[in-house]
Amino acid sequence: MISEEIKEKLSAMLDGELSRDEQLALMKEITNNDKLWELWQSYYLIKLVFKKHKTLACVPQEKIH
Amino acid sequence: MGQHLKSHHYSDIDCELVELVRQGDKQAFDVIVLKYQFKILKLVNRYVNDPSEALDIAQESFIKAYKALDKFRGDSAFYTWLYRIAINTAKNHVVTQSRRMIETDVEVLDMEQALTKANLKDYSAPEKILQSNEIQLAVSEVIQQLPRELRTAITLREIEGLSYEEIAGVMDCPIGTVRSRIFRAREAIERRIKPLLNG
Repeated sequence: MISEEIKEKLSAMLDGELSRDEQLALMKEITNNDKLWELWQSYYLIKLVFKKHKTLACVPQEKIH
Repeated sequence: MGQHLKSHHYSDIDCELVELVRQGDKQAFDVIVLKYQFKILKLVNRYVNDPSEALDIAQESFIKAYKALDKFRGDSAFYTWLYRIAINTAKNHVVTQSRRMIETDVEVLDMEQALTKANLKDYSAPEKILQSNEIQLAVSEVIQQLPRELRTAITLREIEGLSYEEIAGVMDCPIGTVRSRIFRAREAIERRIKPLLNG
């Protein structure tokens, strides 16, 4: 079972928003945890879908507050 | 691009990304890095024990690949070419550091074959998945159904390319909240597409 905290870190790492130390620790964990590796691949795929189809979603029309 | 490049033995997605980078799209190379960074890291880890060293070697490998991209002719799969660069970089590093190679040293060809099999096994045909209308539709549907805060956060990140700090400024909330919202959006999308990936 992957903790919510780890999953959130994984998401942040995908965006390059983790510190180097956190990133290193998480990378080490990924290389030794198949479930985490699978989740990383799913997140990465989602990012690729966005990248490939940038028109997939548009910024909401509502005024951002 | 088209017919000429499609006749090569590397994936359409890699082909498109390489072509985009050659045309000056640096973001396309970021995608290549995202796509292969952990496979490269796993590979490099066979040569060094220190994770920070492995990370440095992986980064150096990507820099070398970026600089040498014009030399990539598509005679082999892109990831084979990239893995070869990483292996050479790792070996050079080991030699330079006068370290012994770790026990799992394998002949390059054997390793590449093993990695090719692993690549096919652990992440089957991402280009095929990406071309699946079902996946795209599912992602699109989930985005539309997300609570506004989550939809805005993931959209500003993935479509507009804003940093967490910038999103926090736009949405007038702490960076931690941005991080959490983007994660929850991804989690919702992942839940929705998981059955499609496994199917």
